[in-house]
Amino acid sequence: MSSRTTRWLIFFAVAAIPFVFIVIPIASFMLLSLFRAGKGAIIRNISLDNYVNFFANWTYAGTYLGTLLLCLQVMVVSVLVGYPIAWFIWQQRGSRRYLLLLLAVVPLFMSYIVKLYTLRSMLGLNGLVNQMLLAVGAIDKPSQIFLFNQRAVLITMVVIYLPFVILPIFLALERIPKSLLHASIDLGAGAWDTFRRIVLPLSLPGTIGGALFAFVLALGDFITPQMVGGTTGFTIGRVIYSQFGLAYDWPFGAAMAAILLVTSLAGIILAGLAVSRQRI
Amino acid sequence: MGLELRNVVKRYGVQEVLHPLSLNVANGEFLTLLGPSGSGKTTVLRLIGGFAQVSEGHIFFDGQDITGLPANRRPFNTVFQDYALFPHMTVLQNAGYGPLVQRRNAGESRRLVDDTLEIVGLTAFRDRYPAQLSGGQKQRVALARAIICQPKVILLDEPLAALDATLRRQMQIFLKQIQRRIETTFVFVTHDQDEAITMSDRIVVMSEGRVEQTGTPKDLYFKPKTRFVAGFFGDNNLIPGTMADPTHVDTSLGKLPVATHAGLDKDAKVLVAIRPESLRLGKGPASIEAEVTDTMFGGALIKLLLRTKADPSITLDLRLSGEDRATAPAAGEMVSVTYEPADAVVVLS
Repeated sequence: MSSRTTRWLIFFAVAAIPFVFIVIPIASFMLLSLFRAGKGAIIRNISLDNYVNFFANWTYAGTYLGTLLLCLQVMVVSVLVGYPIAWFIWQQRGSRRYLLLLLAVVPLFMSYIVKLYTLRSMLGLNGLVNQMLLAVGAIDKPSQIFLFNQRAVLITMVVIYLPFVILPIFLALERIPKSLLHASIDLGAGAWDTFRRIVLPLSLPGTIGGALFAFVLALGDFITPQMVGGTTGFTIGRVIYSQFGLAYDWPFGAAMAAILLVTSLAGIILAGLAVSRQRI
Repeated sequence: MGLELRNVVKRYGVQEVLHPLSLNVANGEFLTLLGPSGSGKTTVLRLIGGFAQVSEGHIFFDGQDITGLPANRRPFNTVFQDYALFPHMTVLQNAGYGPLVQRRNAGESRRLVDDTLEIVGLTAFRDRYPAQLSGGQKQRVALARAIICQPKVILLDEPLAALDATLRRQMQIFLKQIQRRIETTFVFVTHDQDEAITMSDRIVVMSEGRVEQTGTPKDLYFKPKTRFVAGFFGDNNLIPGTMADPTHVDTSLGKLPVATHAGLDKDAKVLVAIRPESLRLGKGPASIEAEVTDTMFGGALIKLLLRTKADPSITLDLRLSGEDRATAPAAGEMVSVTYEPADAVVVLS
């Protein structure tokens, strides 16, 4: 057996795993989205009806746009919160720095469901947030505004996805050579100029990466809206879930999932373009 | 006037990396801090630049105490060892960074950038990014960025270390030309003796956080005061002995005549330093008998390695040039070696 054949064999052996477990399921899903659900059976006639229905019906298209908006909010807020935290950790010296970093990413090791329940109880009527606001006299009686609405989904998602945002930003900051900061100061720049003109642009790729994590994760999340979203926190993820679990219209669910996949891919490609325009 | 370091000490924790050190740099001078790694030369530069704080002592510039002044308010600019160019900015933006953050007006900034890029010969590369430049070009950008604001002192931290030998030669000449043109004080850090000798007005030789000797390149080469300096610049034959009188040193090779050296007690332990090129074959007022152990042909020079008969034997290094090369002795031959007493320098052991 020639070494060329061997190499191809090894390639196929390795490629088989992602092919079987990633490419085939997605392809079959895509195919499913072109079918139609009949009475308790799937009718295998290829058409784009599911997609047409989706965009023609404002209930679905509106939910989709609302979800996009929510995910963009999650992205922006987590970057606005995560960047200062990453920057603060980066400013620390020695072991304290890595201790803080570890603390920031520890939530990643905890169960998603546990985190959701914790946040639900914190945001609830007798939760920590209300208790604190009562204690400082900001409100007179416990407020319902923190739970079972779109805002609750936003807050919860930001808290849960924050580590995914902090980590890439921190890594990008840490990659900036100290000598560049020295050079900036040496040339007469103050702290703000150095941050704005050197640190921020050089940490942008990591920031975009972190933002992308938040956006894509939020887009695919249907459990958080279900747990804390109530009736107004309705997202496309929940709609898809209900198509599979309640309505038994798998082809329509698959079509919506495909739209979501394309949206995520578009986000990733946009972010990729933004990063590659940076000359580092 | 100029830059002055007065009894400056630097400690990291309990470790004293710089022992009390005083230094004067005249305005317009090209001063080199020379020493092996760990000698404290870069620390001195960082203290002057304001990137590290002195533990004791003071730094003055033109009579003013600038010890507590932060780096961005000192009238000095630095060329960093790894260039430290901003990767996301073009040559133009890198060079113009100083005027930009110092809020110079746009017209003046543009003129400064144009002039400076002209001086360093990078006008054609103004829109390139650092990643698209060669090592020598990056070096020029770093220099442009440092000189653009017309600082009073330019600090250079081994700026040529990353360049290959040919480029290094060119950059040495280039740096020297720039320095003459802009008439600015240069404080240059290097571990390369040749670089120091060819470029500097004055050299400060450092070792283990202390100044070994300060002087012009000629002083250091011909009149080294310590063993470290004698061994650091080029090759030197070092013969141990004790002072007999101000013009003679007792060694295992006999009583060797030396350049007059007053101020040392009789029997003080010293070294006689004689340059290989100061030794020649033949007899004279000072004669050393030795056996040729090896000859090396080096083009313009033939290098002879000799071993003296005296006990303990001493290895001598001698260079033959011109006519003498034709009659060079072969290995194994016995020869007499002599020198001018004025070329034999007494060095503290």
